[in-house]
Amino acid sequence: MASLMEIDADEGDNALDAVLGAFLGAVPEATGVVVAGATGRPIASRLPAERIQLIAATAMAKLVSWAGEAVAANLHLSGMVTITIDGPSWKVIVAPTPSHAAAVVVTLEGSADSSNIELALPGLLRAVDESLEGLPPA
Amino acid sequence: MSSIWPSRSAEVEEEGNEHLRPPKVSWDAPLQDSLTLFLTSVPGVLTIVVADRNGLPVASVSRDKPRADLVAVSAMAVLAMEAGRSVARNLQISAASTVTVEGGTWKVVVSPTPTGLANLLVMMEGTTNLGLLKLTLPRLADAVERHLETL
Repeated sequence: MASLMEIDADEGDNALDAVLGAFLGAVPEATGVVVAGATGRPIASRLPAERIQLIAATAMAKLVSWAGEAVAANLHLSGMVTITIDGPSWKVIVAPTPSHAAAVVVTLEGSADSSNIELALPGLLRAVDESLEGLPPA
Repeated sequence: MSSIWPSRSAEVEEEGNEHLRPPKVSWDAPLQDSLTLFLTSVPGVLTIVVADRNGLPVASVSRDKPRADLVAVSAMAVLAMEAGRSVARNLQISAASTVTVEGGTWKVVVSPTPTGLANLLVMMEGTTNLGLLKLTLPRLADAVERHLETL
């Protein structure tokens, strides 16, 4: 995912939008991507659906991420990477950025091969962190 | 909550009195048997916890000695499941069936039983057979719910 890292991040929001657009372009299996800030508010999104409750979805995604880290901590397991929510025909992947300043939510079809996403996700998370540097906290 | 180690399905009282009293059967013996069968059948599974809908642990089995506070683990796992369901609802997609928390070498899968009476928490480490897990987890969930309904 070198292309994600090469995006010029001089304009915070625009850079973040560009990062999400580049991710969706590079990983066609993903149907949408959202960035939730440290408090769970949405910062940027690229989702096809219109009738969604984005603020509630990102707040709950942040809670999923926190609860997942708590599960791991209580089991004395280190290094939580992702949380995958599976439905009958879809998947939602939630992953905190390395700095934990944000969490990224990726939606995909259930039948999609998630290996491309697993490869691309670390680059996306780093790129989101870099885009958020210098921006006021969400 | 029952013990972490698989409980014996029946315990016989002291030898001198065994002809006077019936064998003491553990209330959760069938449940423990189902969990133990799953634990031994699916490679890579280390611990299984059954938690009620509030996140309180009801039963558990483990390959090794427990290394965690299962009350906190099951509470947080049920919270993750409920929050995952809420994410799906708010994204206008259908109901979530499992939540998988994943690290470099480990996975924790949380899945509700068919009516949501309880949640299963399966911890795996190292080489795991995820295909076998996904095939057999719904059957275990069915069995757990049947056992809990008889209590």
